[in-house]
Amino acid sequence: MNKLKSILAICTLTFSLFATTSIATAADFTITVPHKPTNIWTETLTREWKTIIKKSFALKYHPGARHIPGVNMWHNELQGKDDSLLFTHGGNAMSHLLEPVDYDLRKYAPIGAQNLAIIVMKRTDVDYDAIADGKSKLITSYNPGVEPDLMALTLLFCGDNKSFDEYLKCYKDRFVLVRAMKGSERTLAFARGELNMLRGNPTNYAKNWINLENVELWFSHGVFDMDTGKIKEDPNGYTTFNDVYKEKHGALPSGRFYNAYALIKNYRDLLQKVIWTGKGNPNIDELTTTLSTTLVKGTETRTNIEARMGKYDWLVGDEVIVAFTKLQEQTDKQTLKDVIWWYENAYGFKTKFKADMVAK
Amino acid sequence: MIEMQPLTNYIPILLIAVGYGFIFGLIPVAGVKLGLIALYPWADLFLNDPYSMVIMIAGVFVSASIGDMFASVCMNIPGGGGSTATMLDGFPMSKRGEATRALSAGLFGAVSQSVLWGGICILALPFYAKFVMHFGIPEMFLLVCLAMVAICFTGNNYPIRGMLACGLGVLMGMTGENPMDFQDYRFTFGWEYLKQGYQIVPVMAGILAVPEILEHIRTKVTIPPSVHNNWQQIKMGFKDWWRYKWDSVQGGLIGTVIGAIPGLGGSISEWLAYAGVSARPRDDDEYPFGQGNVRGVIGVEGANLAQKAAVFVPTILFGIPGAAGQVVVMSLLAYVGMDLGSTAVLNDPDFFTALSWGWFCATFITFFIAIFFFRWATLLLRVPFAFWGPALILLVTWASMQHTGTLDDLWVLLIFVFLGLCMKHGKFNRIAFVIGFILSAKVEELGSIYFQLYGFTDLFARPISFALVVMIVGAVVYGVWFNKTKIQYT
Repeated sequence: MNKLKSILAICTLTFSLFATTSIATAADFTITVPHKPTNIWTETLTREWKTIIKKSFALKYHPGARHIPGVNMWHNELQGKDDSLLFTHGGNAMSHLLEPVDYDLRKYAPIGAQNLAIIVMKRTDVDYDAIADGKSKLITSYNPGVEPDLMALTLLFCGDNKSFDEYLKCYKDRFVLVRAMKGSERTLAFARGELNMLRGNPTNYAKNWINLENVELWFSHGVFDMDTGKIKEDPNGYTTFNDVYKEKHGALPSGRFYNAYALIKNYRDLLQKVIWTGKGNPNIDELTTTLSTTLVKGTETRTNIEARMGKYDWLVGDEVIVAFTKLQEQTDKQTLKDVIWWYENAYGFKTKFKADMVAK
Repeated sequence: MIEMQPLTNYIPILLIAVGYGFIFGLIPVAGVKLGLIALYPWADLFLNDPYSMVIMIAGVFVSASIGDMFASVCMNIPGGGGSTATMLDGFPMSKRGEATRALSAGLFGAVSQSVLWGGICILALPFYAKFVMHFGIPEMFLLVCLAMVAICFTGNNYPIRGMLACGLGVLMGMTGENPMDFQDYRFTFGWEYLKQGYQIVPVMAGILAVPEILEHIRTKVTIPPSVHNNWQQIKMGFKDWWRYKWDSVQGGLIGTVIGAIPGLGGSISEWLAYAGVSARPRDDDEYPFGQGNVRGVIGVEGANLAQKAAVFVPTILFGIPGAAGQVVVMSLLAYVGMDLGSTAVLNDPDFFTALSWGWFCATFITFFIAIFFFRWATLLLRVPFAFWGPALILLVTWASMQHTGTLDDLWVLLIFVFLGLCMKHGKFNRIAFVIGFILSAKVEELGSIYFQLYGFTDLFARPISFALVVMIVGAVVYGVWFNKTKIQYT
């Protein structure tokens, strides 16, 4: 009987452990994360933010293919809840523009965003001039989010002011896209030389890729210029795509294809990491005010964040709305149709032209 | 820059880590990954001293991995994925009253290989980058094929049904997003949840765990008392391990190689280890494989902790997670300010000190906790399942609902419980199903990438891939014509 009691005591202890876990998990704000259960960007931000706001955050992962179902779920079920926030990434922003999704980023109140870029890496033992000349092909992985990078490289290899059909032929002659590769496989395959281009966020570059042998930074796409709505230099001083293009072709890129690239690149990068909540949420002021305090330059919280995420600008509250509005104003019908044409013909991507995305 | 405290200051956190991880290891289908995920609410406590998080993680890894073995041996239910193959010979030993002997042999196998291969991994860190560069897409694809072949051709009394089960597992593993275009979805039947595919925990719980629990409750299974007492069985287990130490070392080697290659996943290693040891029956084997041969336990457990140690290597050096649990490790350490793969961590000797100290001390402490716990674990076998079977089902349900926490998780669990019961009743090999399920994504992805990047002749042009082709062909030939091992497990 004593043994049975001991066993029951162990079971009770175990259940208590889980009950404690559940209680500890309860938080003042819950952020729906559609990307993956472990989101370093959001974790780092909330870690610093909660020291200022004095409230707790919990990340709730809602999985789904290409990270769309989580945002749809938040749109349909959670946006009206005062304690509910949403994290979206650049892929969600591109889907917002190009795909039939439930959610609509224009309908929410942005709390904060980081104006980011994407980094593209190359190998030192690959002859990229030979690829540009059509003598060999660039082998890279195809995964969601890579499309603007491939557009940039198409411009770089093929030059500007060509027809879209010419770009398509040039692109097909110069690229081998390997499908079905996941993140870590891509990095390793690139390190081994099986792929000769790798792309990802600046944190990956600064923390991990910089240590790889025989690889170097090719370019950063640069960031969205809040004043002009164009692309400007990377605040970390990385060589930008415009620099690389100018070095090869003697002038900055231009033309319809470039405009299409710039539009989709800006959607992806300006909205690469954003925290939203529902419009009318009574906590908006508290959230934005405390986030502003967290992000004041020179403070410990800002320094900690920059150490992890690079020296990229932050936008808070209305600043995000201003930038997003500027981006939407650039979305003209022809450029959007060009993006869609390219996505469908170059990548076989199923898209939907949304007339309401075009600037009035 | 936070400085590490004297190591003795970390003993309390190490003890907590070991106790905490051991509980998660004991819970069927929970294991290391869930144990680490459940750490998130307390992650703030480690902010002031990130090295305590390193030690906590090492402690949880070791103790939960060893704890996994108990459910496999005593209940015929897999732990958190690290000891599934241990069930094949571990539970038959329990049924004849030798649970402690099986646990002891497995423990000595796991701990010895943890120390041996854990040490080798640390010493080999400077050479790792060169090693891993030899394993390209062809080699990884062939390693997965070798694992499938090894499992399919490990003798089974119902080979056709085993292959059908494996095929069904592969098909169900393909549910969700089509990796070729990321826009098409397969086998979702309009259910949004399935676009992400089935998660491994409800699959393991439904196919392997719940049917066993229900069976135990229904049949009121009774374990005969052993003629040997607890201490005698521990000594027998030690003698078994010493006698078959090379099976243990072979398992450790397989675990280390598989663990060190990022992205292959740990489950391959234990099955390759089992295939490796069961392919060499000896005249002095007391029982055939699958019917309680202690060598099956020793070989698999040899791979268990060695593989867990090895997966740290690519994660630390490149920031590339070697297995699913390592993603959580990276995230937890990133939260406390340590980015694995970064120059800051690579140049921090305190990080390596904390990790290796935590790993080896946790191995040592867990060893004694486990030895002490043998008595209790085997006492559980004496308690009617009707007492704690329902609690076990609750725990398994809790573990299955950690994915989204919605009713969808529960529905998926129920689907697999139903499927598991049907397969058990129809004598279909449920292990083959689970392995097919686990490996389906790898087979499809690596296969498609291979054929996009390479041609058939490349298989023979690369030395390692050529050796793997020879091993695959050899495994098929051996399995069809020479293998006398017949596993009874259904």
